[in-house]
Amino acid sequence: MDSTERAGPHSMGRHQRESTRKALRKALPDLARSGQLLLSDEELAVYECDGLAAYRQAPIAVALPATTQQVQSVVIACGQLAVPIVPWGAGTGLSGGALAVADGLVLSLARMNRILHIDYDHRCVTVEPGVTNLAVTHAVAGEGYYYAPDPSSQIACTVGGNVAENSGGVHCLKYGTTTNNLLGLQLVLSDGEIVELGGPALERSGFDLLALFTGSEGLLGIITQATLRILRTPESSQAMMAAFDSVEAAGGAVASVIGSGIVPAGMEIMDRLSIEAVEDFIGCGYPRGVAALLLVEIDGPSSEVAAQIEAVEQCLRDAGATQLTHATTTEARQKLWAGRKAAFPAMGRVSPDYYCMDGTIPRGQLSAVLGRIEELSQIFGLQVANVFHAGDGNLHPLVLYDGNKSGDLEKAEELGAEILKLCVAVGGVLSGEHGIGVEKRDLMPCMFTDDDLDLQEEIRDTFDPDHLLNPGKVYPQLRLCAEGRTHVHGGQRPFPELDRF
Amino acid sequence: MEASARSPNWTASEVANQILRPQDASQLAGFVKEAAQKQTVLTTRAGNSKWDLGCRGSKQPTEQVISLDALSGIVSYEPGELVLVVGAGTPLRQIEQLLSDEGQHLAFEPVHWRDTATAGGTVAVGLAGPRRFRAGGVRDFVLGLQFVDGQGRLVRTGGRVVKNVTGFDLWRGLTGSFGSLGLITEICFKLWPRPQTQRTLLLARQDLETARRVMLELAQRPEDLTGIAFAPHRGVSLRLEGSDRGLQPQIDAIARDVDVEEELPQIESANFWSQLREVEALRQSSGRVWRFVLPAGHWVALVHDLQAAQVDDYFVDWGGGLVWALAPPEQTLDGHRIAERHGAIAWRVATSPDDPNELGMPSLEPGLKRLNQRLRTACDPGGILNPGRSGL
Repeated sequence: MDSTERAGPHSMGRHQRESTRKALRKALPDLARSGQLLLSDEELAVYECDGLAAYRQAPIAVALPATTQQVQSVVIACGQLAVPIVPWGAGTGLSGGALAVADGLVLSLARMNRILHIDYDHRCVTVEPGVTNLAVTHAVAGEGYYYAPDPSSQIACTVGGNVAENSGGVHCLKYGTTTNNLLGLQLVLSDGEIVELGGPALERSGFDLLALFTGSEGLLGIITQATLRILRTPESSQAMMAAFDSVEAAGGAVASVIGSGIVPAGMEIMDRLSIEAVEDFIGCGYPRGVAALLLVEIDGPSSEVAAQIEAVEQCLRDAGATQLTHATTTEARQKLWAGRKAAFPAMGRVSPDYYCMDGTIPRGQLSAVLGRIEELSQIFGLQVANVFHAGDGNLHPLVLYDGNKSGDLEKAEELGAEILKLCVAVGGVLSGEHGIGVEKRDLMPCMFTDDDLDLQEEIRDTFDPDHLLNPGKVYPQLRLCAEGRTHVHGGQRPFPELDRF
Repeated sequence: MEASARSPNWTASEVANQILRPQDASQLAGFVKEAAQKQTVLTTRAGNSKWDLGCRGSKQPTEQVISLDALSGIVSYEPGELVLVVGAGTPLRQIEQLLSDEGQHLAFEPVHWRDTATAGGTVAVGLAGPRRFRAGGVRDFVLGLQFVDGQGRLVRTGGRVVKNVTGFDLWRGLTGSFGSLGLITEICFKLWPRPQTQRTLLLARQDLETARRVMLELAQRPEDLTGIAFAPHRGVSLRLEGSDRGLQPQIDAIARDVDVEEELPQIESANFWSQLREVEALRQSSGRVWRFVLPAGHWVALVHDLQAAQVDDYFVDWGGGLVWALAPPEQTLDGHRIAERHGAIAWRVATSPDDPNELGMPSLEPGLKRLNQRLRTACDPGGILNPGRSGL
């Protein structure tokens, strides 16, 4: 690991830092005058880390533009001064994608938080990047609409960050991730050019640049507007919970539901360790002593949901469900989900520290992967709790360790890296929704060949030849298959108020 | 190097020329590497079913045709994963048969155009059927690709899982790029269960403006409407898909709010939408076919412009977001100019294999064009892969 990131020594001396700050103030007089350019160490401390707290680095400055033109002027000024830019939404990301660089500027889009236009005829909403994910749904809920991608941090995370990370949530199998729910973007490129991509028409001319920019983790451009597709709120939503004697049986039930021709809105599996921890934590009525719980949510027109719920119930029974609970009301459904959503904080009570992984695997590999994780857990002598977005194959193993115990942290990191390599080995990917950021960049060669990575980096070079935008993220500094990491220490994490699942 | 004797829809001169027919992806990579060194322009095809889409341009002296039809076959199919991996040259018909046996399908409703259509061509051209406005397009059902870039490197992008934020989403960029960013060798598709049943309702005829309004309102309804179309001689047609039991109450609910004139017999329902998808009626008439993709609410204004240019044969799909039109043979239609006025993009379909169809694709405004060219330059620095076909 790059020691500057964890230890955080500045790469330039104090004198040089002050002269860069002076130059920024001079280049951006309007922002400086109106308090939109933060330069004091106290103010900058807030931007020292994002949701991945193990990595800390304060920026040299923070700009808070309120308009696309102000973003443009910041990008141009930074280009001229060769000051790298790290775009920042709400800083809730879990892979260090918004981690500052020592001699760089954080470009916060927080002040660009207006909903610009709602177009029900074309079922889309145009927003500034600082609007929160949930605010989009709130803006259209009165008319019976919602925005589908629902990352667990949706109360705080911003649309700009969602687009940059191609955020998911718990309903991705049926409704897709951000890229499937995005119609247009306005961006400022590294040379300051403002471009518009897409719009209310379903297709556009030229290449699908919209797709290329989505999930590019701030490396290709700064998002200044996004046009999102909104969906009709389903007429009906129902959930079911089934208990199983083994995680394998729960995995089999998932395959059987999908095999029956039903695509649930969400499917979640929790293992014994997670279930017991959650019951101890919030007592939401989950059965104790079972090996696995499967939550299934079905939504759609009432008549279709009724038909599908029956079929799902049959699948679950056939797959060996030992207990079944129906949730037909909104309250009952939320209660079922409450336990799942409490899984991460519940771990904070079981173990002083945990390390959250985010690989995706083909669903059919679930029992093989969980078996291997159990073996690894014994080899490393650390417990691993598993929660799993079973519908879309996104696995969140939580490695439990004690940071105060010498060597535990390193073991957890090693174990985590082994788990991610395992995900790739069975046909999966390194990250399902948290992004690569700085956390997993050095694992990229486990999944991609040199040619694969060369082409991706060549594309990056054509859009940002000087690596002005978010340098040091996504692509490995050295092309070795190294280890990656994400930690929560002593239950302390940024944004303790956010559910994480 | 093996030259294929003949393949459907090739002109006599093309058959006479040597056509390279790589047997696997690494052989293709070798051909491209050599072509990059010699600066030979490459034109690729597999089933050649969509030769009339995109710009064709005039034949270049160094042009080499490569057929990808041998890169064919099912690499893996696991119905429980809702994932299918196939070689680019795999015939679409074979794929659809395979999936149908398992009660699954490609939910974007691939457009065959001609019966030799392949998986690779489907992705390279990116045409999706009536369900597009609801389920998504080709781009939304491709999870990963293997392709050869303009330097002859065999590259993988994406994966075989739905949730994947590992690296740039290059595979979506290649979708609809007409083979000008890379030559696709293998595709991983996301599959969907095939609805148990589909039913088609025809609404009472209305004037254009009323039809436009009704279509927009229908698209906002909670029912599982997967087809909303309009044709001047027929009015608005609707398709609902779902379970046998679940559909009737939805149809009843719709019939309470709009004037349903009749329901098509079950046996005609599937045919109705596949004819629409394949643009059969217009393509079988003589004249020039145009395709317009536009914001759904704008189609009536576009149709008025078409009518003013004596183009009366058209139909509307995607709830208003897609218009296909037929300009009579004697009529020179500037579809791109009309499209621009309504926030649309237009494609012009070539009329014969010798038609260079320079106006096949819309031109881009300069800023966007530069941006597109940057991506193309990164993927194909020598500009040898199907140059001009995508209009860039």
